[in-house]
Amino acid sequence: MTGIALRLRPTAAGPARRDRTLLIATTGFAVAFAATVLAAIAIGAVPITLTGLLAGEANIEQAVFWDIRLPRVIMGILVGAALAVAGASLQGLFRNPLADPGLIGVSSGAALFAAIAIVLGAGPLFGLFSLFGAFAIAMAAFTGGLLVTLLVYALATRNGTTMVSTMLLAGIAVNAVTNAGIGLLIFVGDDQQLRDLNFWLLGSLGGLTWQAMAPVAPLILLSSALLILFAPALNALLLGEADAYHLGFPVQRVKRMVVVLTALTVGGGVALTGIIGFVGLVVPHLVRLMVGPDHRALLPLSMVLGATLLVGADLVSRLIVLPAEMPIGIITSAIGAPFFLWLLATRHGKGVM
Amino acid sequence: MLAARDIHVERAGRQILRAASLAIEPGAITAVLGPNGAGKSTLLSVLSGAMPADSGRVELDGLPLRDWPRQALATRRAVLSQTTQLNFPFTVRQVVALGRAPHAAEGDPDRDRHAIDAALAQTDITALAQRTYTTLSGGERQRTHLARVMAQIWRDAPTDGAGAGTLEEPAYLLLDEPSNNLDLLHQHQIMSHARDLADRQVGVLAILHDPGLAAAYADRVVVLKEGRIVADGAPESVLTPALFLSAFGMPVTVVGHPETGRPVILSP
Repeated sequence: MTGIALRLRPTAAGPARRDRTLLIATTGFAVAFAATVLAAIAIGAVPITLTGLLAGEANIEQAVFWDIRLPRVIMGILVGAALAVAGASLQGLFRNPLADPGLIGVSSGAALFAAIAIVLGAGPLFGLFSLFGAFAIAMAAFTGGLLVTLLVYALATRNGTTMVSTMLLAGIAVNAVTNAGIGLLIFVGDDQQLRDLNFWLLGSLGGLTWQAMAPVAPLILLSSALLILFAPALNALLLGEADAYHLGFPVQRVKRMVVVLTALTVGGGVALTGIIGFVGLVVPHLVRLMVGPDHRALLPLSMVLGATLLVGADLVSRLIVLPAEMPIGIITSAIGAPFFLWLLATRHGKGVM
Repeated sequence: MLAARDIHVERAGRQILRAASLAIEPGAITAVLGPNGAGKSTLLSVLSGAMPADSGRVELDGLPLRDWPRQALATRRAVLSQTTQLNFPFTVRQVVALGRAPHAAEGDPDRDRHAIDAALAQTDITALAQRTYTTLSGGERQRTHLARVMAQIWRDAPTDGAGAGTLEEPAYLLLDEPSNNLDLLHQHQIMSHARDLADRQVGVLAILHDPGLAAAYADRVVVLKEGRIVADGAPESVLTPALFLSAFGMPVTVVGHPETGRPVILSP
């Protein structure tokens, strides 16, 4: 036993070092998040200062802060966190670091239904969504995201067992079909519908109201928080489904819950903002590079970094073509895609990806 | 006792297991041999609870496996599978720590740490603990997973200073071709680790391709052919030229090892 005790000593430093890395990463993420949020609140067409906010009489700064800037920043936090935690969860579920929330059909389903609502709005089926008034498109998008995800899930499930590899392929095929549908709607739409549709497909945090956010915020927060509870199961699933079963996890229930929760959290976000690419793919990679693949750290830290990046990207989108706004999806894809290529080029073969 | 009785499994109209009965005894290595497609992996899946049998019973301590709570079952039996697909950059220590997942409800991090340290030490990979799993060689990966399943079924040391397993609640370890793709030294290292576990009252079942390994390490050899158990007993009595001819269709010569006396199989 003394021999064993002696050999144990070198490992003692290991967990401590990892704890320190985690502490540094968490602190850094928190600082970056706070700084970005403060900057996004303060900077804009109307700059907001502390003195203006605290001034006794009502002023334009207070109005902009409460009605425009704050809901926009909060929505950026929610959607960024939702996309990142969903991406990280699905990468774990599919054991594939290239998985992205769009893969299970939630984004393309939302886009197809949003397109139908925009172009064919008054039709017999989608007239139903006009009951939601200003939220008709958001409701249609949310419904479409969930329906298409369920379709992809059902296509990959046989006799109560879901094959994640089949789900990956079914997702690609269903995405192609929905894209064809969107293409057809673009073809038949008039100019105004095309502009609306394009704006939705490129994503934007602009024009969000508290009323629109009220039902979505708890949905995103709750489903993201529940996803974090699945972190130990996702860790085990990285070994493969058989090994996760042997470790005592209810594998089929985990798969179903992770798919449903990611669809809810992403569907709730994109319903209001439209499609925002690359956040769900790139953020988990960045976090994994810093703290490793353990989902117990990866999922919450991805939420923080995703929120930071999306709020930051939105700030850029508001400033880059003043007084107009660039769709945020262009910013995230324009930054995210080259960054991802750089990751691929530098990290490939080092056992990191 | 982990026991399967009268197991039938049929898939796509093909009988994979026919009336297979097998009880794994604590403190012994049971080796399962048989030609490809004989049903060895299916038998292991049924014993682990991962695959339901079409008929027959699988019980741990007299209770059917499906009635065991998942986590409680996972603290009593572990499986070293062939199909581990890990390609994410965990450290070796983190992979071994995954074995402690079924113990999360116990909320005892000191005990988890002790189990992980001990499993790393017993598989001689303490020095690799901070290495990234995806950079390891095949042998190192296999030992990492062996350490993981050992941590999973780890028991507090009895008074004699030995490790896993007590007689009251013995643990079971199912190994699916643990020596596959390993070089000669690592094949024997894995089997001697299995021997150590059996010496600490773990019931070990190992599917092996190499009858030589079974002859050298197993206490008991079970031979499957076309879904039936055609031989079951001590290596000396099972591993005979007649068995190799009938089960594998292969003539061999069996001699005694000059030092251990165990059977040595010579192919023509």
